[in-house]
Amino acid sequence: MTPAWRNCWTGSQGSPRPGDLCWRLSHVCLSSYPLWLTKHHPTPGVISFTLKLSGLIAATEDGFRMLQERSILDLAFNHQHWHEAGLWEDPCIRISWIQGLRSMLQHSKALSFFVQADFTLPLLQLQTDASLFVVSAANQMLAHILLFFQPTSPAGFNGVDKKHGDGKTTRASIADIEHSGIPMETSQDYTTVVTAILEYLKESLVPKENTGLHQSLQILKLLALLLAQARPSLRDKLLQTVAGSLEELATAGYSQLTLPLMDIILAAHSSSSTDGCVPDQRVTHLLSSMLKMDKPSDLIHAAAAFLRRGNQDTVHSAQAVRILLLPLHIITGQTLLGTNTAVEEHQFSVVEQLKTKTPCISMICVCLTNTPQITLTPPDVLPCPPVLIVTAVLSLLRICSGDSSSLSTGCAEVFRNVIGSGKVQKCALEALMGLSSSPGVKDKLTEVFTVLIQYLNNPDLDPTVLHKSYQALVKWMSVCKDLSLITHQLRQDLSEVVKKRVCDMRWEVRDSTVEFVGKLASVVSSAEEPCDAPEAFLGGCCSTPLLREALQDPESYVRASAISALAQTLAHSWQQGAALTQEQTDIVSRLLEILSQDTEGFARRAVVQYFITWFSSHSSHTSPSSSPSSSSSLLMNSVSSVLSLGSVDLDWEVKVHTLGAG
Amino acid sequence: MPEIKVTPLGAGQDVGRSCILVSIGGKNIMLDCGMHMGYNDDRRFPDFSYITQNGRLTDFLDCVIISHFHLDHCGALPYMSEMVGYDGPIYMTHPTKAICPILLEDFRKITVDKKGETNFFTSQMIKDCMKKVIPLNLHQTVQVDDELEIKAYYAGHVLGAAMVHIKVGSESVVYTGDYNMTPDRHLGAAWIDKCRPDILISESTYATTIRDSKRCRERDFLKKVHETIERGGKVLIPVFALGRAQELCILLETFWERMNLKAPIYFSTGLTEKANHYYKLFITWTNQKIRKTFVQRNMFEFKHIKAFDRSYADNPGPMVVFATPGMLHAGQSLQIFKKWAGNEKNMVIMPGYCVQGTIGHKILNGQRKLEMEGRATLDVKLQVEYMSFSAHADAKGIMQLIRMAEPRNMVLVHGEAVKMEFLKGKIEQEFSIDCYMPANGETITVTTNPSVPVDISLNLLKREMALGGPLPDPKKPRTMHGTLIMKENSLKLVSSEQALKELGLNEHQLRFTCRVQLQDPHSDPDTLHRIYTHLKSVLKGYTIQHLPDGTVMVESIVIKVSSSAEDTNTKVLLLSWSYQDEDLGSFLSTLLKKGLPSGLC
Repeated sequence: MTPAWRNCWTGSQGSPRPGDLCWRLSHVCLSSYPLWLTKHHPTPGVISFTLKLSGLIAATEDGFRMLQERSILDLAFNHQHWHEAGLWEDPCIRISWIQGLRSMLQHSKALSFFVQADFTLPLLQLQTDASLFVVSAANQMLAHILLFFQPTSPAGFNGVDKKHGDGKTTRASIADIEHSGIPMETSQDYTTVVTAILEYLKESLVPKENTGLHQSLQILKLLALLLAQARPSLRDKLLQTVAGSLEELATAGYSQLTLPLMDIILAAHSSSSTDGCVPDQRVTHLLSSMLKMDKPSDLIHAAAAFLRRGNQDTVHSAQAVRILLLPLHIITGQTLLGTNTAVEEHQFSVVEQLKTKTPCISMICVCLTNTPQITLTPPDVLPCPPVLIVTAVLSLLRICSGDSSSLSTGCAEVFRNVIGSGKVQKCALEALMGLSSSPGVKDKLTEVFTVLIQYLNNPDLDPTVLHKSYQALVKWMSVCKDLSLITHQLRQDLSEVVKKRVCDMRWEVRDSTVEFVGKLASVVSSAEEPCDAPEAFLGGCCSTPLLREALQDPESYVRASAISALAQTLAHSWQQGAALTQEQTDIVSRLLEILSQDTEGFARRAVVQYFITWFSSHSSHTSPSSSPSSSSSLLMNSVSSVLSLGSVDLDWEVKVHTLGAG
Repeated sequence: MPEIKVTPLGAGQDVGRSCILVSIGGKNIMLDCGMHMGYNDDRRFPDFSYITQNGRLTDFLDCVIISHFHLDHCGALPYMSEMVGYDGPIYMTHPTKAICPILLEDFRKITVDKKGETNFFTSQMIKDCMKKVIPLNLHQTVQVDDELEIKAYYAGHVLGAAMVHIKVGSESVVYTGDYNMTPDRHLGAAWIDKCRPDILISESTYATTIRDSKRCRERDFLKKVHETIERGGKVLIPVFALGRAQELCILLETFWERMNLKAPIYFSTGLTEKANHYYKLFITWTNQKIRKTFVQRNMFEFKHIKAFDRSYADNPGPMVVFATPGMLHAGQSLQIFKKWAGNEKNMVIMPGYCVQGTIGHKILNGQRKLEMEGRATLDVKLQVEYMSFSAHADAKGIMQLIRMAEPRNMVLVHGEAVKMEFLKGKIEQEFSIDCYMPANGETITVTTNPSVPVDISLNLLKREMALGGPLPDPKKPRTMHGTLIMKENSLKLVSSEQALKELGLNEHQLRFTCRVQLQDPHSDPDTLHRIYTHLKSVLKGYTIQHLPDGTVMVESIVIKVSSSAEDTNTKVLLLSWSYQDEDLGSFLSTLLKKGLPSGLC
């Protein structure tokens, strides 16, 4: 039998408005709902839906009152009842219970209901639930209660608020805008909830044994949510409550908790300093102790977290930068931290850690990821010029590829851990890309080229590393602009390796190479002193024949990339209005062949795009008088063929592109 | 104790998007990265923020493994790698790597076209994602890093589907993906070593089904096709180029042969080329019969099934056509559908899932009037049938796999909770192992007993043998004594002498000394002699010497006598022994404290 309250939706025409829903509920459905809920043994899915719906309806005071009058809220959110019915074990019930309450808690009456029903404890218990989703929802809910109902005036916590001299409004939060003017009973309810939650946080933050780490982690996540939005009074109360426990956690050195703990400390540090006050001494002390941890792998993560937050604290920034650069300094032997490195407190333990492969790779990757950010720190924080960091990264790349010339300096025992490591190579290449914009590094272009060409020449190179090497080359060329720094020999070497790689066995390598040739053309055209023809950049190697060859590639991805690269390569000559060559005519006929015969949509789409690019550059840059008539007529003839072929293509995207061109 | 954790982000008590997170030996692995076909919003992809609140996905995950090309197993991969930002290794078999981008591209087109979504992965992203994929060969152990290794096993189900064995040290997990334990018409049956993993994570789509139901479906399919043909109608079967199409072709071919039917069966040319290309490339992944046939003739050189030409659609009389794509959203299948939709004698059979927004989805939901391009409407009068032919292991098959692999624990995913509950009971009863069925987001933790492999020196083994023990047997544990050397990630048990030699250390002697006071009114030499005589009588079988330097030695224990300065009758005995003779030394000191018997001379 379908209950009346369910029929009221299923029988409706179109989507009902919330007002309609409430009306129908109050007049038709709700009277049968409690009976149905208790007698008809609904499935967890249906209960889950009703919990969420009840919460949504109760989000307004009217809706809340209506449900309350019919005892629906007491019935639906009675978790004991679901326990006894054996349904609480189903995570979808638990999560819906939280979500329902979360939706409802938008007004003071809902808060009173929450407090009277004593839901704080079960909610806190759900913070250690077996389900990630339930835990996350419980954390969101706890944060919502504390933040949404926090008083706007500093009188909320029985005199614990700090007086702010200028009395100006502190950090704005959504709650500020949405909520003001809290009645007395709400304040009492809020104090009850806050007291219970803070008591719990204080008791449970430090794990009693190793198995309690999960709970500590969740509490730290909750604190992070709270500190991000809490007003000064709540924030101070929070910090006052948990400072001792945070200190205890910081000294206990639980690796799993390092990052979340650091997040809390940084949030506390920055929020207190943005209020125009001197940061709390305890928080500053905590921050210092986090940056002096014994375990190098935790320490480097803490330093990276510090740097990521963009904290302005010069003393700690300098310390974080030194911690982060130390592994690179040790491995490469570059004097990144000055000559007197013996003073580095952690040098010995870091060297020891670097001798083991897994922590070595992890630490060096953290270090590399942060190098671009490091070079942007103020000069008084930076222990060496950015150019030296680029040298170190290049040196590391050489070490990774087993280049014996780089193995003379640095720490030999660590080399074996990074030689051939794709992960370190990729991180280093990404760092190199990021470093291209650092101040004063442009002179390194030649050296960057040399190292990257060495990489491209390595026959055992992983395709993903090769792809990043190409990306790094393009990035450095586009940033440096002055391509005269690249010697003829280097261009020759690059051209040789490109010729070799475009015939690689692996399609991934061929595709990256073809893409590179296209991007190279774009970069060379936009350089300060562009070459006569972009392809002249590659010395003796002519890129167009390579790309023409790639049009025959068995892999459709490569064919499509070759077509796009050809468009990029020829764009320069189109814009210059260069005379038509036999090569161009051949390309056009091949492209029309692809459009009519290729089985893959990628390639056909690329052909249409090719002609769109040609057509637009032709019409915008070439006056009819200067354009050689043969080029124009070839283009016009081709465009008509493209339109007729593309408009009947079974691939809708080819068709759309064609119509766009038309 | 070490633990293995399993958390489904998808496929926990549902058949939505498979995405299972495994933490084993400090490594984090994502098994499958599927898309939920039932959602149009963010919920279609797994929520990766649950695992990356404090950093990049690449820093957290050691690798991603994709079991097969179905979108509920790989559909979120470009989103994860190119939009969320995962740059680590992705593993899948060669056929999956080849076919996966076709499905992803197909789905992207539908999403962008039919639903007009713009915030979706692009063709470029699919390509960039596929370039990061490392292909796997069957039964080849791949070292992800120094500690983590993976090995793929044949899973049946679809071309290229694999189960994967993940091992870190002595801990291991097997993930099945979707699999089929009985060979079908073109693929073989799943198979795995008796690898005794700590956990076997198995799909359970047909946890309560037994094999016959598939036969029934096939009979039903043939009956419906036959009836339509008999009444002069046309049958359209929209299919994806690879997957069940081959299976259905073989099924119809056999039926036509048996029934001596004359109506033509066609398949669209795109289908032939693509399918032949991939089956030729990956012929080793098909079953033995197909492999044999392939040597002699093309797999699609059927007697009754011929290549389709556009003009055939208008031919009068009955016919059966297999055409792509499978969801009737574009291409040849849609063109044929438009032509045949108006005739109630015709039939369209949808053998797979259809995404919302497609014609396939609309007609399966009973829509009989379709808005086509140019505001034209199409009346759907032909019969519409949905028949799923997906090849999953049934309850019997799942039990068979457990018997094959002999896991210590079982985790059920990719199934409905009620069905799982039934199977869980059966597994626990029959195999006496724990069986879990975590919901999405729920973590199950399994404690493992680590066995740490240690090398043992030949000398030590020979010495043990010389002591008369049984010959070493790997199946019978026994205690060995030696010195454990932990050096450069290897563990070696050697004799203490060898350990000293290898490590370049000197042997140190540890000696205990104690003083015992004794009342004995004799000279010191006499007292020493009396002690010698006493010990001789008490300690039979021990080497006791009275040495000329004024000491008595019992094994390594040295006894000296001196008189007290205050009282010459009070003797002070100095006992010293090495730590090897600790028991004897303690015994002697206790014995001598009791004094010497009066009758001694």
